[in-house]
Amino acid sequence: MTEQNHVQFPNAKWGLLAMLYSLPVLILFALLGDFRRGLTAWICTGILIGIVKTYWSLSKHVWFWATIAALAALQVPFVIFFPIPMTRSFTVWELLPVAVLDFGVMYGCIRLVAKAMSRGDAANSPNLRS
Amino acid sequence: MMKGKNVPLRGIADSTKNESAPAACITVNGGAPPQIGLILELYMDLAGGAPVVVPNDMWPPPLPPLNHGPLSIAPNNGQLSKQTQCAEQALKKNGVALGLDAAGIGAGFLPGGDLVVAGAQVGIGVASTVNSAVGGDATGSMTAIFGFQLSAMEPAAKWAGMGARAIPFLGTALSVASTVRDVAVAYGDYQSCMAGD
Repeated sequence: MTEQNHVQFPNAKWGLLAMLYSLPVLILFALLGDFRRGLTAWICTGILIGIVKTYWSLSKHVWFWATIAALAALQVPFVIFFPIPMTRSFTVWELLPVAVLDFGVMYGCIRLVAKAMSRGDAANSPNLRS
Repeated sequence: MMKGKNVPLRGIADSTKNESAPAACITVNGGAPPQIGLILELYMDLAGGAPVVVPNDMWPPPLPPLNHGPLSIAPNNGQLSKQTQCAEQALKKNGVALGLDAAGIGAGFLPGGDLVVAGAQVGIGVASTVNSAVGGDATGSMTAIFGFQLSAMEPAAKWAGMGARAIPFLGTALSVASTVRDVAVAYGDYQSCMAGD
């Protein structure tokens, strides 16, 4: 699949932008009175934006957005069951391994779906059928 | 005490004997003690610079309410000093964490490529974790130490490919989140200090 070659990992600037774009999520949760879950939701949304940026070359496919929606749904348990503690003994930095893992899982899922979809496309292509 | 336009000040500047003289043109003379000028300025300041009228039978004039307005006197100074003390205390408590958060964001923009950025951010993450472990409670320290060990494993993820390439993005995103959270914690400390806890 040619899009696979166009995977572009987001850089630090995109880290800032992603958190800026997803700031309304935190504001919404804060207004609803759950700042701690808001922080988790904010981070998850930021990571999801990073994944979309990574695979932006696939954005013209409907299945890509369907996969992103499914991955977004997978983040919901994080938000529900892991509100970020507001004690000094916990730092958000400790979430870095978890964030890398989360990013990796989502990265792998999209790659898998892309591969499956490209095989399907190849099987349906007129060149192969003829 | 009243304030108004072009109303003479009685009691203090009684020697002018001019009922139409604007209060802004007050002159203190006669037997008035030198402090009166200062008191008068203070009253005018409190009234936003507007002329102040003190009736003859109200000398010395009553002091203005002390707990209102930006120029209020002693009790508010106590309030201000408590605010300053609490702000200092909250900053002292959370200053290192906030500094490390800022450093984490800055590290994302270091020159030298992904490896340098990932190394710097992991280093800051470890420092942040150690700081948290030093200042935290026992349970928190255990969590922090666990986090420290996980963070220390991050360089290994570099050779897995994806991990290191994602760390500059993820590190910066988490730094931003960490900054917001630490500011919220510092504000919470400040509020509990103001409440007297």
